[in-house]
Amino acid sequence: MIPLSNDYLVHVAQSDVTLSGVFRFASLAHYDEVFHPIKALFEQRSPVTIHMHKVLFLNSTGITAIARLVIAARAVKLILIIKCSKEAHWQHKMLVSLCRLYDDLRIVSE
Amino acid sequence: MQLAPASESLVTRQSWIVYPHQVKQEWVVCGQTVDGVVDALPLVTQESQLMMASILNELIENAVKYSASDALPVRIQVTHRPQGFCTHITNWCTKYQGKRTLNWIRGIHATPIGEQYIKQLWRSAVSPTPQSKLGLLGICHDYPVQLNARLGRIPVYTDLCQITVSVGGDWIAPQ
Repeated sequence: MIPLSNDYLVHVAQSDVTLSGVFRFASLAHYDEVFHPIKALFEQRSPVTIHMHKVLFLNSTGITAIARLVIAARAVKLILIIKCSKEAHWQHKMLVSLCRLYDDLRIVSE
Repeated sequence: MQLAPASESLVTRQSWIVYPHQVKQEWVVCGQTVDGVVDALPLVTQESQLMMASILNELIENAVKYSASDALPVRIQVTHRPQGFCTHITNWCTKYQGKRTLNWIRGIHATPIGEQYIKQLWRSAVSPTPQSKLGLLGICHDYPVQLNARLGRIPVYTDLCQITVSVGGDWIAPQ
């Protein structure tokens, strides 16, 4: 069985954000609250890297919440790098879609 | 959380019931329900488990969000065939909502799914909408599945009807 507990973590250290665990919140408002520290980081206007390797699950509302971060980065012309796991195909697929929202979004699959 | 198998066929079919009020009270119940269903199915690979979990999660979330009453059950049914699984999620909704969902699903193949997905992703990302409305589109976008819906017999004495949304196809091989 996949470890789908409902534990999640959003860890911000300088310009690096690490997301891990399972994200299955019901509403975008809940995601906006959880991702608020990331958005606040955008105000520094320096490149931000989001590490998603340890994200086990993200529902469609979560994908939209990530898309909102991408749009927010685009609005301030911020370089946003999202690193995902090569082994989690769903992550790569999702990020390829997000690239269509912002040309300067950089995806690193590792 | 109440997650009791409503019926169990020795051959191919298992059902569960969850009530919207249970999920709305504590959203974590949605995930627990999904985990319980996935755990009960003979899915061998982690990829197939994740695929089933993702699909069930979106379908149950939708069923709960659009249920006409928190007290009316949402039925989760998984049919296991030699070539794979098919999931059916049934909930009560208003006739208006039921017909709207039915038409939306019937029309989903009119435009390339990738295009629809990106459009909706953009729309929900830039607007203050409370819901992403990406769930069913995401299922069709991410997995090689068939999405169908049907309305149950529409009773005349109420404004409600049952809608069943099914996801199937030769998509999750048991091994």
